[in-house]
Amino acid sequence: MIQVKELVKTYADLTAVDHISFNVEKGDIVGLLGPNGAGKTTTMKILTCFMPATSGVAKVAGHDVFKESLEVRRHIGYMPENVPLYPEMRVNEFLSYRGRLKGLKGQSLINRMNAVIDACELGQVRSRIIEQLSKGNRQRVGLADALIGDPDLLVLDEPTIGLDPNQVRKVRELIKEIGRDRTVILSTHILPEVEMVCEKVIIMYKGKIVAQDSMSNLRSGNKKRYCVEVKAPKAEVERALLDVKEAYEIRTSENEGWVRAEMLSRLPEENISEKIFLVLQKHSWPMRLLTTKMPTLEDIFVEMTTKH
Amino acid sequence: MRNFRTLYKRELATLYYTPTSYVVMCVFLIVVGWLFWILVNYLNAPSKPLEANVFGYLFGGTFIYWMVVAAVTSALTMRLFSEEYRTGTIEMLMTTPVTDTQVVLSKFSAALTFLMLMWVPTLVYVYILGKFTTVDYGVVFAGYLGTFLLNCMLTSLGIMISSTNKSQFVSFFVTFIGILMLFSLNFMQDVVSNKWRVVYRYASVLEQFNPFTKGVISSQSVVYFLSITAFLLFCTVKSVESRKWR
Repeated sequence: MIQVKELVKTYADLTAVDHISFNVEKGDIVGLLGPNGAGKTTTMKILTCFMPATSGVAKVAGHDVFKESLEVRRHIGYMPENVPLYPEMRVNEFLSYRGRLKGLKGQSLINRMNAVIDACELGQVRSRIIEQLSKGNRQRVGLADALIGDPDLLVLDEPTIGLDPNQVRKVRELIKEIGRDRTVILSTHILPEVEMVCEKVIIMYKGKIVAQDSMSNLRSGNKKRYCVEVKAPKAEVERALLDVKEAYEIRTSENEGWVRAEMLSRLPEENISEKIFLVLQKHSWPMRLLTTKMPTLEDIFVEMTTKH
Repeated sequence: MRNFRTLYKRELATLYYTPTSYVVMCVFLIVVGWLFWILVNYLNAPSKPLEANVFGYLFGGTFIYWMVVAAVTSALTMRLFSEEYRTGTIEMLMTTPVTDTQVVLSKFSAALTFLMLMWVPTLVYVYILGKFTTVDYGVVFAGYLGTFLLNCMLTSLGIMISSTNKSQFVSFFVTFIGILMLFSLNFMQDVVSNKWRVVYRYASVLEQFNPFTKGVISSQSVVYFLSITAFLLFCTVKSVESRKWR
């Protein structure tokens, strides 16, 4: 659905996007992650034909975003950051206007409007003036606008920013629902959101892609942590764990007499739980936990965006 | 064409939604009505020639006419692009399958329609005057045609300036000053060298507008207004496109 190759965007003295390449398959829900200023919004603006790249190629549905911009725009539903809307229009009028711009008319426009109003739960406010809507409802109008043209590709820039937790949950469910039969690319820095919604993740940092993979690959590729909790003096636990040759980056903390140690293994293929157990068993300390922990997206994100 | 119609309808509707437009409309009608009343009184004096035509004076004959035209055009065109830039709606607009030219032309046509509809109530004056005296309808027609062409040019100037910045105030101010400068070229020709005088005279809006007030439709003036309008609209399209190469 999206092919991006060696894309570069430079502003006067800043390289916002620096030779990025990625592919998005039809039907994927992709999360574009990164700290502020990583180049996520710029990438989205290029994909939606709002501005061209300095160099490189970007194709949406087989069409070049620069050379066949109008064709690309027919395939895209875009919800920009902060959801700009015309405040003086009514929800109905606005959606009808946007639908017409996206090529709908007559009965098909009415049907499509009803469908997106239903999907975005805007029924109660459909004849209200946009200016008087709450932030959450405006966000929904933005989403309804992105959906009205029945696009193959939905580009959402920070879709849940500024919503209350209930609304966030509903919007996430809606995105998941939408993602069943079309491609969605969404940018965010709310990591749990990506974990809940996306199948594939692209992590950007300072204009470059530092990681891109499916959620499960990203997690398994990243080293799991071993956690153990024993009742013993902290210094002694630290000394004892030095005997586990495979363990490194050992971190300990103490809470009510229990010492928690977390470590990584030098042998990612092998489970070293047994070795940890045998070493600690020699001291006959009471043990209440020995487990492995998969890294959260937050761990991966922090690792990717700090070490580069 | 369908896109143009959709965009045009929204632009025109927005002009009627915003309170500014009604203020502009009110002020305009009050001033033009007042001007008409004064002119009728003035020309009614026994010392004035009988054939004096009120409409010759009403269109462009007074300084206040030019001030009103400058203010009204600036006020109506200031938000066309500046507001879209400020609120970010331009991003939403330009990511739908519409071309920059369609957007520019629809905004221009909507503003021009609004401005010309504002003139419609002044037709009442023609009717009233026609009740009491003989009206030279040729002069009236030329006056309205001149006003239309003038509005084309000034609207395109306003929209061009609006497309260059985010602030409605800056757009208003620069357009207003720009129109006054075009208007002042006529007076400036007396203080510049001979070589430049002819350029000033040809460029002066007042000079080009004058034939219309006398009932003359001069092809030179028609070309002047239309060519400048086309040029300014072209500049606007380029200015809107400039987001792509900035």
